[in-house]
Amino acid sequence: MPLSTIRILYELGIALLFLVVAARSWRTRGGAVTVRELVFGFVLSQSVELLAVQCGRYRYPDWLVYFPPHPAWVPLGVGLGWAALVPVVMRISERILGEDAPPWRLGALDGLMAVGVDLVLDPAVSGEPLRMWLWRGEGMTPYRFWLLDVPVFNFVGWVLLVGACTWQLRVVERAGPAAPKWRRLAVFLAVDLAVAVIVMRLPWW
Amino acid sequence: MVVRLFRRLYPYLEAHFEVGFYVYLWVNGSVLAALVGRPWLGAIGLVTVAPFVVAYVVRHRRHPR
Repeated sequence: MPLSTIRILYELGIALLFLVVAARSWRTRGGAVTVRELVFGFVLSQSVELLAVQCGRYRYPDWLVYFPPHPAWVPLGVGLGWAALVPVVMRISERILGEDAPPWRLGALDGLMAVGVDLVLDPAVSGEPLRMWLWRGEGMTPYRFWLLDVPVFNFVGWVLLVGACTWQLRVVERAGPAAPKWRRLAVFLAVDLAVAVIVMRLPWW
Repeated sequence: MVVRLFRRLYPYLEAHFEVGFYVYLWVNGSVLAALVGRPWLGAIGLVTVAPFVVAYVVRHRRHPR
């Protein structure tokens, strides 16, 4: 199969998976929680990805749809993929540890599960020959630590980002029906982005 | 035949959608890895994905919902 066809199928597949997860979550958990989980997962991941590309951590060449379209830095499918993964790992860890387990334990398990599958996916699709995203290039970060031809920075980022995202979502959801959930998520988002800026500027990655 | 198989599997997919989705991501990554000439990458999931799936199955057998 030509690589260009695999690339297109990969991008379309992510969008389809997002729709499947969204429909499933909506049916089993209701609209309000589903929208909060998916929107927070999408906005947080897409924002962090934009920061990372701007900092020269990696780049996404030749995707079909970027969000925002200008500058065409991060594909829409990247945020959708992250957002689809969030409720999936959350439900699995809640079944393993129990729904009443402390949010930090559930979040840690979520992060580990996410990086577990990324250790298979990322080395397959990043870099040559598929080039869904590239770690090396002119003006980009010269990484020092690599695993399976992927910077260790990436895997650490997956654990931290997914773990933080799901921990924050659970903290907000457990606050009770009267709590201002969207406002709290907005505060968490601002804190996350501030931390992300600092982490991405660390020279030793 | 495919429809009949799907009908038989549907209750399991419905009850265990998330872990099925998680395994699908692993299989999908393994197929992609094989297509780009790195078939051994899928085996990494035996260490990084399978333990979570096993933990899920064990937990479900002890505490079915």
